[in-house]
Order: sequence, then C-alpha cells, then structure tokens
Amino acid sequence: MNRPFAPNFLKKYDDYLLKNKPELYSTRFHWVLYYGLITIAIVAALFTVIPNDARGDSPIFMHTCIVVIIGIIGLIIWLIFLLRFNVFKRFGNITAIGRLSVFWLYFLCSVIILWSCFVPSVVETLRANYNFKEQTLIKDLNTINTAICKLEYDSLKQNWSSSIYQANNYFSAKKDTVIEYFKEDYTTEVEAVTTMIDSVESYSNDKNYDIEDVKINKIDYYNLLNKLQTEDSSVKINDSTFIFYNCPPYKKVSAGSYRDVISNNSYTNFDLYKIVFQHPKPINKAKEWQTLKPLLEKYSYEFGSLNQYKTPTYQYDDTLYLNRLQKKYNIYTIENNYRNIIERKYRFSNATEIQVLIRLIFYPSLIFSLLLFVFRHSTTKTFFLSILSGFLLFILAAIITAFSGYYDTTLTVFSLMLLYFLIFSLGTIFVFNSKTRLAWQGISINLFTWMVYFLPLIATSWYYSNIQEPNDDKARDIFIESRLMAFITAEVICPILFTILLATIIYKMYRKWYALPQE
Amino acid sequence: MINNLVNLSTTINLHQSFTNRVIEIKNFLTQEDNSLLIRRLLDLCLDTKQHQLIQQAINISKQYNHHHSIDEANKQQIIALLDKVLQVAPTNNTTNATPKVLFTATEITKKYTKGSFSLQPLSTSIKAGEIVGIVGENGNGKTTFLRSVARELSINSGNLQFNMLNNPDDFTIKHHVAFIPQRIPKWHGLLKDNLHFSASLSGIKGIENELMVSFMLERLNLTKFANLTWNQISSGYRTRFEIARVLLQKPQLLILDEPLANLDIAAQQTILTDLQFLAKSTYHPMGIILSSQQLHEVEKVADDILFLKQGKLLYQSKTAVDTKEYVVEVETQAIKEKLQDCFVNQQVQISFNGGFYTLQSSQITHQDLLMALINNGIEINYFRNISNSTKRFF
Repeated sequence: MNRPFAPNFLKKYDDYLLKNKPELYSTRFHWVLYYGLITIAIVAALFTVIPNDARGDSPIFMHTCIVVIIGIIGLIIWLIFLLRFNVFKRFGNITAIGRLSVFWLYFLCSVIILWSCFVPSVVETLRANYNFKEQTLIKDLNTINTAICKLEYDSLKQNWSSSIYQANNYFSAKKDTVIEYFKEDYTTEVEAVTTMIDSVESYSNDKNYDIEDVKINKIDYYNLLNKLQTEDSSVKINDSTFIFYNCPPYKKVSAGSYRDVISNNSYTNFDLYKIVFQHPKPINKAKEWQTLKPLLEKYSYEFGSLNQYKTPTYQYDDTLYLNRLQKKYNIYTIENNYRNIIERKYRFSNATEIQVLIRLIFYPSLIFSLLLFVFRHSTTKTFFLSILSGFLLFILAAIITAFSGYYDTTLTVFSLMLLYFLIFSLGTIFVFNSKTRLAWQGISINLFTWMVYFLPLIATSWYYSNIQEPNDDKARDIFIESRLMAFITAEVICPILFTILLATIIYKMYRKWYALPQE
Repeated sequence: MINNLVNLSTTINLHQSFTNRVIEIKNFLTQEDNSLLIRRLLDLCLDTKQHQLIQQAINISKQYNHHHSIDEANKQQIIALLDKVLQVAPTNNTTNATPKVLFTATEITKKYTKGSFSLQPLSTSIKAGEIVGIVGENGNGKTTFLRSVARELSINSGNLQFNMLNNPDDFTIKHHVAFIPQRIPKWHGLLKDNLHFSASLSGIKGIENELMVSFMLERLNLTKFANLTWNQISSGYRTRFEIARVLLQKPQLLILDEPLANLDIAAQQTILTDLQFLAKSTYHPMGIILSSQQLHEVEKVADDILFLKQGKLLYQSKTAVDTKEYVVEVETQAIKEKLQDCFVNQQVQISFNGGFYTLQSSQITHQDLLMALINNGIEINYFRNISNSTKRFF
C-alpha cells in the first residue's frame, strides 16, 4: 500500500509488525504516531509563521477549529482505512500483553490526534514567551504606572479609605482548629489570634451595627484574620476590632487577573503610594513623558496599526476625569493588550490549568478508546444497541432523579449508577453459562466495560454525596482537601483497576460471548 | 508453525511415500503435465518442512508461472530438488496408528425460531485427511448443517464433539475450524497483507510467515494478484484467496459452503484436486466438509457424501447399503417410446428429468443398458453411470 511521505524504515517496521506482532499491527499506532507527529510539526510551523501578535486579540478559537477539522479527518482515516485488521474477530492467538497493549495503544492514538488540536495554543504561548519576557512586562508595567502617577500627581492624590471590622463568635466552637491553622501559616500572629478569639466570646450579635455614625462590619474571625494579612494598613481598636485602611487606586494600568505572575509582581497601589506620593519630589514632566511614550506605543497595538500610538476610537464621556485619563493614556487598549499577552504566556503555567488540560485530553481520549475497544470486540448491532441502551438508561436516571423528591440529586444519580453497574455485572455473569450469543448479554458486557473504568470515581462520588460538608470554613477546607485527595486517588486507581480487569475478566467475557453460536 | 505440527497422518511408510511421490512427479515431468507437476512439487517440498526446499519449489513455480513452460534448465532444477527431497525425507517408517477422528456430530438438530425449517437428527464424523461432501437441493439444510458444525449456529439437541481439541471453548474451536461462507465478507487493504496477517495471528511469524504466504500464493496460483485489492479481482479469485487465507491459519477442520459456486469448470477441478491434496498433506492433514451443487465433481474427491432433503439425511455414502440398483443418465434426441422399445420385457424404469433420461434397473447392469441403447441405434450425446451417485435422488 502506497502511503504518502512514509519513510522506508517505517514501511519496514510496518511489515515487521504485520508478520510478527499482529495485535500491535492491528492498532496502526505506528502510523498514527508518524502522521500525527508530521501533522503536529506542520501545524506548529504554520502557526509559527502566520502573523499573530501576542498583544492582539487571540485568533486561537479559529485556529483550533481548523486543526480540529484536520484532527477529525485524521481520526476518520485511522478508523476507516487503518483499523481494518482485527485479531480478536479472526479468533487469532492473543497474548496477555496483546490484550492490554491494544487498548492502551488506541488510547495513545486518540491522545495524539486530540493533542494536535492544542498545538496552535502551545505555539501561541511559545511565541508570546519568546517575544515578551516576564521581567520586561513587569518593568514596563511599573514604569507606565509610576509615570502616570507622576504626571497626574495633582489629580491622583487622594485620601485613604477606611472601614471597621469586628469579629463575631459564630465559629468559636472551632477555636482550636483555627489556632492550629494560624500556627502553621502565620506563626507570628498566634498570640494575637488567641487573644482575639477569647475576646469575641462575649459577643453574640453577628449583625453589622453603627456606633456614633461609624459602621461596624461584623465578620467571623477567620476572615478578619485574613484581612489582617491582606489589607494595606490596619489599626487595632481592641482585640476583636480593627480599622482597615485601603490605599487609593493609584494603579491605573492593571495587567490582568489577580492570579498571574505579572500582576502579582508589579507595583500595587500601596507601592505606588510609597514611590510617588509618600515623599513627593519635583518631576520633569517632559522627561517622564519621553519615558512613557515608547511604552504606550509598545502596548497600544491594535489590529492593523502595529506600534502606532493613536487616539483611541472608543467613545468616552469626557466629563469624567477617569475617562479623560483612560483616553489620554489609551489605558483600555494597553490593559487589553497586556491581558492578551498574559493570557497567551501563562496559558499552561498554572498547575490547575495544566490539570484541566490533561483531563481535557485524557478523558475524551479514554472515552473514545473505550468506544473503539468495545466496537472492536463486539458485533456492530450490539455496539449500537449498547449506545442506545446507555442513552435510555441515562434518561431513566434523569426521570427517577427528578421524581424522587429527594433533596440531594447527586446521591440519587450516583446510587442509580451503582445500581446500573450491579445490573450489568449480573448480566455479564450469565454469559459464562450461555449456550448462544444473545444481544442483551453483549449489551451488558459493553456497558459493564464502559462503566467499570469509572467505578472508583463513581464510588467515591457516591461516598461523598452521603457526607454533608461542614459549615466551619476551616473544617470545610480540610474536608474539601480530603475529598480532592480521594478523587485524585480514585483517578489513579481507575486505570490500574481497568488494566487488571482488561487482562482478565473483560477479555474473558468478550472471548466467551463473541465466539458463542447464534440463535 | 512448521516444526510444531500435530501429526494426524495415517499408518504409512513415510520414506516410501516420499519416494513414490518423487516418482509421480518425475512422471509428470516426462508427460509434461506441468501444472500438476508444479503443484505436487510444492506439496512435496512443504511436507519436508525444510524452508530451503520450500523456497526452491516456490522459485521454480514462479519461473513456470512467468514463462508458462518448463525448459531444460528448469527440468534439471526440478530433478535436483527431488533428489534433495529424497535425501531429507524421513527415514522412520510409520507415523500414528490410525487417522484421528477430528469431529463427531451425534444426532444434532436445529430449528430456527422463525420459519418452519428444521434440521432433523443427523450424525456423522470426519477424520484427518478426509473430505465430506454435503449435497442436496437449495433450502434443504446444507448451509444450516455447515454453520452448526462451524459453531456459527447453535444446535437444539445432539452433540458436537471436536475430538482434535481438549475441552475447547468456542473461541478455540473457531480458531481451529475455518468456515468459508458462500458470500465471503469483503477484505480490506492489499490481498497479500491480509494473508500475512492471517498467518501471523495463527502463530506463523517472521521469515516463516513470508515463506508460507509465498507458498500459498504459488500453490493456489495467486501470486500475480497478491498486490491487488478485493475489488480488483473476480469472485472466483476471491474464493481462492479466502481458501488461501484460511489455509494459512492451519485449520484442523475446513468447512466450505458452495466453494465451487463462483468458479469456472477448470477452476472447479483445480480447487477440488488441490483440496484433496491439501487434506491428505503429510505436513498438515485436515478434514474438509464442503457443500456443492456440483455433484459429480464433489463425488470424485469426497470420501463420504451426505445427501440432505428437507433437513433429513437421506443418504450417506459411507453407511449406505448396496441396493444393486443400476442407474444411468442419458442425453439423447430420441423420444421416450423409442428408448422403451430397447428394453421390451425387461424391468427398466425410464424417466425424463431436466433434459436427461434416467434409466433404472435392478437386473441390467449399466454397461448392458448402454449396449442395449447402442444396439438399437439410439444416438447418445451423453452417458453417465449414477448408480453410486447422489444424482439419482434428484
């Protein structure tokens, strides 16, 4: 078979697998890997040369859509033109390694195809990282904000805002836990915390109240302690009451969300206060403007007007000072461009986002592999009947949940899923005594196989559906953390358990059922 | 694998057998029966289990298929190869005591849940090296029987025993029992790749895989089609490729449903002869069950014939009692009365059936029947003795 751009070594390897490793050959993993890498390389090269300034709005959705179409074409080619040889349906010799490798190679093929869809995003991130270094972005942002504060010194000098907070005793029953928590994280505050907690015992009122026109905000001491860590300044009135002072918003250009590195490492309002306003010095406005102007030009990129600092096209209400400021320094565009850069740069830097990305690739690939595995071990009729049965059971579960009247729908849903699993498991047991190949038994096996992978996750979800979350913030944090750990453990157990079952019971079930004579 | 074969051969003097086959091939060479010569040479070399000899036989076959003739140089090559075969032929005299019974069906019945047809209790068995032919009109249970034996269909009662396997499950049975249906499912990809794959999944790996596929392609004269696809070959060649594929899986029992249906007359003869040789192979003897409408062709090669009518086993050649009935089939332009005049005062039943006259008698032998017709000046276009053929039941 002539395969375009196929190197000789791969043809030889293909021939070797055909004549020596039929199970591996039948997955066509080597071709998916080769063509997948080629596609990824071409896509990466293409999106490296396509004009895509990191400051502009990201065209990533459109780019991803194009690559998704290519991925779908690749998937169809793999399914229709490559997956033509089936060792199992030919009743061939299948080794234990073969049983496992077939499924996991399907999975890897799916991962490769799915991963290609993320290539434009990765390329975009790499380009942004290459063109805009983190330190430069921080330095530029600080320079812009400092320069604006200096240039607008007279207008920006404002008073600090203040508010009074008092701790209530709503959660005082958990005092020891909270003290323990603060002991770990804020060792210097332990004494103050203990004193404060003791002092709030006398307060039973948790509503806000006013004393001589001063509003007293009531919050629990857990949040009050957090405020102590985060607010710009505070004055202690007594052990449970504080005045918190907030610096005026000197920072006119913000980088992006609170989570990103640029925002966290650039000047805060308080920093700008200390630099510009606390000990003011005379400034040379012309020189400041000379410093600021190239930076404004640099970050005033708009599509079709690269590096051209021009009057913004947005319609501002000039009667407001802030709007005039926005217009004068083109702040809206600069902030927008900063956000675009940051969005690109830190797309894959956050651990949570990477976890989401991994799951975004892992689970669709897994589900697709499960579907493919079942299709390749079942009859076409039974496969589609299984999908239909799955839908019908899903609708049935929704109806039962809706009419159950039970307040916790999560528990109902997961209880039903466990019940379904039990039914499918019972259905599969009948296969071993069956004399003929019956469709309902095949459906049971297919649904069992689809569900068994997720069984640890379903069981964990069911278990935690039975437990009520604690009301106490700290206890809730601990509960959430333990639940998260349980789910992560379940996620790890899932593939291990499935692999063991695949090599043993699942393969035996399909082997027994598929070879049975028909009615 | 070549060196791990189950020996199911009959009691024979192996060395003598090889010598006889060498003599047979030399005779073909002398008589210039080249097609048969090449096929038998391939079979012989395969039975030696020597890769080198098999490869040489394949090369000779390729040369013959390329030039469609055997020149003097080829003849010398063949003689040299035959000498080598005799050198490596096994010297031990006997193999297993008796041919192994591969499969036994005892009183099996089958009734479909829909429709009124049912297969009545049927018993039979097959040994390694045997060919069993199933004949009968359309819709009389041939395919049902074959599918039941192949474990494609469940049976309602009776017992199917695959003696060649120890406590097999259905998967194992289907691995060792190859069933070729009348409508062969489409192959995908190159035909050659499919053959390599089939060999590979049966444990024929590496160089041996290459060798055995080349052998099978040459043996069934399919080499020139190997790099084509399913849509590029005729239905006759599809049957032959399917046979090649299942043979590479080294089945112990081969079941073919109407394998001759798509073949021309020459191909029918070739396939039947090949099946006969392959069944009795020393290398890998196997049992073959086939159904066909080509009664005479099947009867020539089959060791046992089962005739099914409306799901009942009406006749089995192995167990049939000799009725001393003489039955001949005659094609002539003469009218029935004229034929009757040939047998005045003699008990001969004459019937007309589909262009043929069937003459039946318990007193006059088939030769005397023929003589009587000739002596009475009846012009005969076709004559066949069907006294021992299932044709007489049609």
